[in-house]
Amino acid sequence: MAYNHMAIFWRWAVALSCLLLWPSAGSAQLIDVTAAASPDPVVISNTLSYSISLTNTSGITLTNLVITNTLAGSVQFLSSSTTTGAVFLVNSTNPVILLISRLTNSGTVSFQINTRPTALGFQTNSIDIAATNNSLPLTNLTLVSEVTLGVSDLGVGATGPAQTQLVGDQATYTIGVTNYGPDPASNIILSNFFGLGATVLSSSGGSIVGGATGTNLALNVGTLAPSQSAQLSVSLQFTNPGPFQFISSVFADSHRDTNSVNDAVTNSVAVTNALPGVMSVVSIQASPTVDKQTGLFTQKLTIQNVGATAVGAVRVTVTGLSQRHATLPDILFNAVGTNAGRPFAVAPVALAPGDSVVVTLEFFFPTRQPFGGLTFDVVESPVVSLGTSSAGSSGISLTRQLPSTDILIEFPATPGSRYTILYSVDVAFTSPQAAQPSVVAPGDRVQWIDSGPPKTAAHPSLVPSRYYRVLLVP
Amino acid sequence: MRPRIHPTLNLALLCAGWAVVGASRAEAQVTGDWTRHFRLGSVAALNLKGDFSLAGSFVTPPRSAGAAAGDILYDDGYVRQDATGNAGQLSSYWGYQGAGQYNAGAGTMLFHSSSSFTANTPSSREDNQVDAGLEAGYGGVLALWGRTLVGWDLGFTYLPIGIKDTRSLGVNLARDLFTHAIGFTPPQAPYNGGPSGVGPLIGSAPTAAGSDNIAATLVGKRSIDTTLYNFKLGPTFYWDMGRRWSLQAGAGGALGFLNGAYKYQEVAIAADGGQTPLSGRFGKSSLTYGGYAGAMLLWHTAEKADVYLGAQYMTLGGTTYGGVGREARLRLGNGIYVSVGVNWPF
Repeated sequence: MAYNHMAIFWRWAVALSCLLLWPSAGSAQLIDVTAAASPDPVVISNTLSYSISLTNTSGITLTNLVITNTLAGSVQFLSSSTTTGAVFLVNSTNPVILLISRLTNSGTVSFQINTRPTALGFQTNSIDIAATNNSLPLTNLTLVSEVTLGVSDLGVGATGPAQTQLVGDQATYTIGVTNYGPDPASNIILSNFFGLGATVLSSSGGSIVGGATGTNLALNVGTLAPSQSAQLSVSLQFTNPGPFQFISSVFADSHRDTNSVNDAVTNSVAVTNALPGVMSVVSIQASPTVDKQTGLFTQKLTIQNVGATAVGAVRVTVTGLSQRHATLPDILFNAVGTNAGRPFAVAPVALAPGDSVVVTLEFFFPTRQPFGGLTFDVVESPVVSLGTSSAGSSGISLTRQLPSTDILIEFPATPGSRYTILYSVDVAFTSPQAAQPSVVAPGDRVQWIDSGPPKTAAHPSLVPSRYYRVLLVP
Repeated sequence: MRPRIHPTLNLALLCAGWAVVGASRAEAQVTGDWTRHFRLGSVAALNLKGDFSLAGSFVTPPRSAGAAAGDILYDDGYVRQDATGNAGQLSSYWGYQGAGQYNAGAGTMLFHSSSSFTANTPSSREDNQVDAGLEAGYGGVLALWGRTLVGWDLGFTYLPIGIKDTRSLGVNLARDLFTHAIGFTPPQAPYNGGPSGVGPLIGSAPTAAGSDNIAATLVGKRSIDTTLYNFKLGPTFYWDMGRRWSLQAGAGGALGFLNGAYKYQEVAIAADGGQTPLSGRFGKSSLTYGGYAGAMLLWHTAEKADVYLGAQYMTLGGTTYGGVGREARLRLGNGIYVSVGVNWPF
């Protein structure tokens, strides 16, 4: 009978195999196996290859080596290929079975199993190697691969207030998220974490995820193609004094970020209660008509330090601005910030007790009619640093002294672009300072007037020399 | 836009002709074994002329005519309505072109708005471009006279025609002057302010300040864009010249229908830099008639088709486009028409 013949054959085969393998039987290492998965991580639906290499270290020739490769349930077998030696694919469904019929001592066989992952997450691949005659201890190893939606380097950068803030000040953090590639990234989440001591006023540029908490605001940026950026902003109001940190971090679900260095950025600023300086508005000189040179109304406030201590800077907060025009509100044009909804300007001027300074406030009244219902609160401001670099700045085309002794400068511009005016006591701009605030060009030429504080640290008539340059704000 | 025969169609007709040639075999065609023929081909026209002239006084439309309410557009600047609605009769949305427009003493900015121009330029005769169109023909046999086959032919031609005059012409521009109050030294010229309401302000109400005249140059183009639909009828004479070649000659009367326009798109550039854009169109349809004479060389193929190359002289009366003083006369009196295509005798 055929069965008897087969049984006799297998008995002889086992006996012969035992005889052949006898010198090494029972040794711990009869075969060296190396295996690797590539790429890792792998993008879903892309090819995931397992490279396997076997080296016979048994001292004898091994026969009928069976490699049983058990794929994860969501991984599909595509193909197998041999790099070195002869390997036969026996079964292409899971588990994938390959056969090496003969491997001489010190011989090496290398082959690849190519697969396609269809589910996200970590996928485990098991490799068992055995000989049909049981002469070889079972060798088992596993490879774990991460399957992602893509591989991207997401980066985040943020700017926020750098000068010390007072309680009640409102600040806007501008956050840029960039996908440096190589793959598109979807469902990008920008997480903004901040300490207790601020409340979120608004955000723009992304949809809020899960609602804002007292210390965190997560925004869904959506999808960014390689090299694409998104700009978001978060506006806060500081409620408590103390050091304040605003930490922005970015990640994308089911994506591998290849560079964690740029995944988070921290902005720190100090928040303080009202400072002790006491100041008073001595006089107000309001322009009765609009200045046709600028389109603005001005009010010159003479402010005196009536306290007992020196102050480092002066803050003037304006109350009473409203909307008298059908569509446009009245605004403090040279405001540098907002406190509890009221705009303020800061004159970077130190005042000793008894000293005074003239601060020129500029207002845009769209009705072009004067308005007298404004009140001014003057407080000591944290010292502001206006030092900057003149790198990238360009010269101006016209400088002219006006009858008021203010200095008018003019430069060509791109309408709608923002420019910072730099000024210095020397033509080499060794210690340039930035005028406050920067300006948006209303036309293809900008006329800007240096009327002293709060734009600059002192009126140009009070300094021996002043030079100007202009810097395009990116 | 003037209709054109797409170059691909012409190429296709040529290819069709040569395809028939390629399929041919050496077979003789005997005069008189057909009684009708039909042909289709492309045609190119040469030596069509246009006489362009500009003489007289011409009104220029106000530049503000098409602008938004509250906007004033000048030849050398603008005073438009800013975001405030020109509150206080002031606007930040203005611009000017030259430093000479600012009068510091008067505190005003001067603007110009051309009202008319006069021109007296000599007529210029311009050639047409190599215009291409389509032609079709149908004919029959009347009699065999010796070795000459006498017949008749009715032809139709569709031909877009374009003739351009791109000369720069000297004209004299009459302008109305307006001033706007400006109480400060303006930004350096040229300056273009924006609508935000912030920035240098100018009075939004113009004040008439008389008029002036200034030499100007009219640049741009004037063109005749028309389409000729042409019917021809006349006797033909047909001779076989060996196994493959034939010659056909004919002459007769021609009737044309012209449908087109005189168009101009110009800018009058004043000597002081102001610019006045001008554009317009005078459309017209007209009938014309005349006669033609021509010959056609045919190469027979085995597929009962001939490839032909023809040349024709046709004289047609012209037509004049335009208005008073501004006109262009289309001259079709000495047109040369070269055609190529396929002729099917049956």
